[in-house]
Amino acid sequence: MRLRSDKPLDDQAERELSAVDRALAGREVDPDLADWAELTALLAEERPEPAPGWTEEIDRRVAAGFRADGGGGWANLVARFEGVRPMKVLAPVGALAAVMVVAVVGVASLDPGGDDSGDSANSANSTTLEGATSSPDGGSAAQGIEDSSAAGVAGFPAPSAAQESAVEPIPSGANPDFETRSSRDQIAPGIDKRQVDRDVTLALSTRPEDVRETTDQAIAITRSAGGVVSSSQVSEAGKQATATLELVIPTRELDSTLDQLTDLANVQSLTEASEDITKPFVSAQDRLKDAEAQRAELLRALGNADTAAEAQAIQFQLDDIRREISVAESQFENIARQARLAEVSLTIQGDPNAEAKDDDRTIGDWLDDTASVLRDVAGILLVSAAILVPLGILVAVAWFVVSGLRRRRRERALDA
Amino acid sequence: MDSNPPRRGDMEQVLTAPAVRAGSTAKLEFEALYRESRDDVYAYVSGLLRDRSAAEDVTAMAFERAYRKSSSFDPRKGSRRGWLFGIARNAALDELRRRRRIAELAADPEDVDAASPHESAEVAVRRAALRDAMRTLDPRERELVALKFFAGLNNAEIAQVIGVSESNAGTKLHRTINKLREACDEAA
Repeated sequence: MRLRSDKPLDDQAERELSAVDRALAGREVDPDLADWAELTALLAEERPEPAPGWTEEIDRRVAAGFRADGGGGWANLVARFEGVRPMKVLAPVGALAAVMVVAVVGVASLDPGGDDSGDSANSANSTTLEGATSSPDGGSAAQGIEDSSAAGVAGFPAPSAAQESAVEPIPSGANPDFETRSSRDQIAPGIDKRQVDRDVTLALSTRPEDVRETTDQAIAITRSAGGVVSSSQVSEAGKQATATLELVIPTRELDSTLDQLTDLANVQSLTEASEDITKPFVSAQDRLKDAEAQRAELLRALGNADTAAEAQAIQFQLDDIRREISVAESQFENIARQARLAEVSLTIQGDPNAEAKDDDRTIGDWLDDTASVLRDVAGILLVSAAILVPLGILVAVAWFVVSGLRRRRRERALDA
Repeated sequence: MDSNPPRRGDMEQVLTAPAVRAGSTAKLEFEALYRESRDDVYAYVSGLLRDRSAAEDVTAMAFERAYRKSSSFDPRKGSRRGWLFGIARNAALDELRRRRRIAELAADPEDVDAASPHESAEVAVRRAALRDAMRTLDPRERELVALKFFAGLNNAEIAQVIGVSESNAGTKLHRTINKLREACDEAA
């Protein structure tokens, strides 16, 4: 449209337009173009002039910078943003949105009540060791802290390779705990799918006034892990307070649950007992399988029995085998339950000298949290960019289309 | 420090004093543009709308928009004056669309047909012929007349305002003036 009729003016037309310009400027015009000058003068005299009252008013408004001038706050706000180009706004708004998202994620990551990552859990464990060593009865307490990832668990040395090789591998799916257990849970590294009965005794200390709250938090953690509180007792007398809890927690959640529980207060002692029950587990399983196979065989024999006496004898054997299956199922279920669920005895002792948990944080803990937050921020920035860049392109295209339509609609006002 | 307050009605002083205090180059530039263009913008808008009251409102709105948009002016796209008239044009066309009618560029005040007592009969006849001729122009041609003869824009500024090349603007303008001349001659 801009380039349409772009031919240069001919010389005569140039002269005539130049005469118009000279006449408008009050300069002399060539005599042969006097009628152009006259027309120009007549047209210039037709120029509308503003009323004096209006000019005073608009002078005042300009001097005031158009502030607080009619239309109220909303109108002023709209007028203020009217001059802002969408393309100029897009980048700052996108950056602001990204910063806000990052800030929200950062705050959420620093929330002490949130679900801590493995890093913070590990740092909490190191804190636990320090706290246990410095406790009044630290000798026994420190000795009480044992890690199942060591070569053997207290009282239950790791089985020898010969023992392990004698164990028949258990089919996948027999116990879902196997699928999610980390190598830390294995008694003998290199041998997978072992069944372990784990029991934990944990003693925490906190300020007496915090015992009840810590107990509630421990119960909440247990429930969020899919466990149950089989018994609980809270005793408060004067400045003394003690809580005792018996918890049953799915074995696959035990480590993360312990991490959270040890974060609640200062750890006085942590004893974890593990017993490898792979052999009785497999034995019970085999026994059940054998009994079921035997029943199937008897059922086939019953179908092929020729005489009533023979059938009755087989029926007696079937009754026996059914009882045996029932017993085997019960035994297998008991052992499987031991492997599937861990028992935790938790004691929360009120201690007037106990310090707040956060006081135990070290520079390393803060650095770990910082790294975690930075990692989250980087991820959020990537996700934000993935959303904002296409969105920005769409907005830019929409802006160009809308601007073009607006321009055409305006021009149509002169076409009517 | 100047302790004398600006006199009422002295636009130059009223406008300059606060700007100097603010130390804002943009504001100074805007005020210079305002002083230079206020009456021209009004004349152009009034010619386009043919309604004094609406022209005052639209002119004020145009200056306010220009004030808010000062930072969006790009010297590479043309003169500041052309930019201002572009804003005024948009505001005027929006007003035209809103009212759903096209104003004629008669540009006559209320007593337009009244001849000046000192005006010769010949001039009065020519003026009447010119006004009749202007009524024969279409809206776009009348806009060109308003931009050239009422607002005093040069061809480059007219081109910037209506969104065509400078030579195209010159061609359109020349054709419009010729059309007016012929209509005037016929009427005479």
